[in-house]
Amino acid sequence: MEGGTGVISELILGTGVLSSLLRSRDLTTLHRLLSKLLELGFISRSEYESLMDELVELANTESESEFEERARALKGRVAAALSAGSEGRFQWEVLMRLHSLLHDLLRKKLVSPAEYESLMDELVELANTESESEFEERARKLEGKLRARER
Amino acid sequence: MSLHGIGESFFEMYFRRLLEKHGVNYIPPNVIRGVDYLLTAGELVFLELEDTVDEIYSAAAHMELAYRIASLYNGYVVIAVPVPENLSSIRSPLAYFLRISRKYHVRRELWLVLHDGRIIKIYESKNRPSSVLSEISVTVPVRTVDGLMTVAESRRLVDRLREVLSSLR
Repeated sequence: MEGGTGVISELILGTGVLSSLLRSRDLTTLHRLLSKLLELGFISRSEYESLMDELVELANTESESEFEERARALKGRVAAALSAGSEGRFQWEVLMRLHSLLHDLLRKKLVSPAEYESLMDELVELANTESESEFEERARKLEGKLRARER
Repeated sequence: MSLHGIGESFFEMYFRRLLEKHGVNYIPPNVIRGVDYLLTAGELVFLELEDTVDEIYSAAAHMELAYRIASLYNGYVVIAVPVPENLSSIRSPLAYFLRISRKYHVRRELWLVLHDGRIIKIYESKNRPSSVLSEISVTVPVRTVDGLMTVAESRRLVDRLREVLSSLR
């Protein structure tokens, strides 16, 4: 489970809250839920827009069987959006974890102040990285370096 | 003494006392979505308080609504944290804050709050620093390129902060 994202995913999907909202056709609360996920950075704007399109389709659906089918699809899309690792959500969690790791290494004197500065340079580079794939690659390398210092 | 890690509610209480002592009009937390405070002093300052430096990452990512609203008013978006013992620890969180907010037309600042009631405002050198609480603030510019802070500039910033802090002591 990945930090706050995993907890949110578990709360929304694991407890059946989302299924319950869909079953009771409470689209108002569902709308609020999706907006809150966007506001808190757990889904990206493009994912949100796409989910809202589906919500509109759902609101326009009269047939019972079609509603159930669309509701199932929407649930799957929410799950995918939460686990996809949208840019704003995923990256801040990774940065925060690496930041804490680096800070711990300095506190435990497992890196010198000069090494800390050099590793912090890499963390700054990572924080400046826009591309998702490049970010993941850099994060993996930096985490490897930091973990190696722990041993 | 440092306020770093003191707990968000205590830091919030401390900060609110500063606002009241200096007669700053504000809208308190839990009124405006996506941000802790809105300060008004001829300009709008959307401000998020965090009591530790590493929470800047989370705050920056979760302030999208504040960036969008502040864009409408050419406002300031500020994250305020207690000054950390390890000044260099602000480099990466600040870089991330600047990167994630750079697509919005907002003026970004990071405030480091000292335990003696003073504030170090880090602002982008291309902008004018915010005027609110200027009587207790020292301003330190940071140069950005396309809205980003380079590694070299982050090191220079920390050097300048060390000088400012030693002059304040």
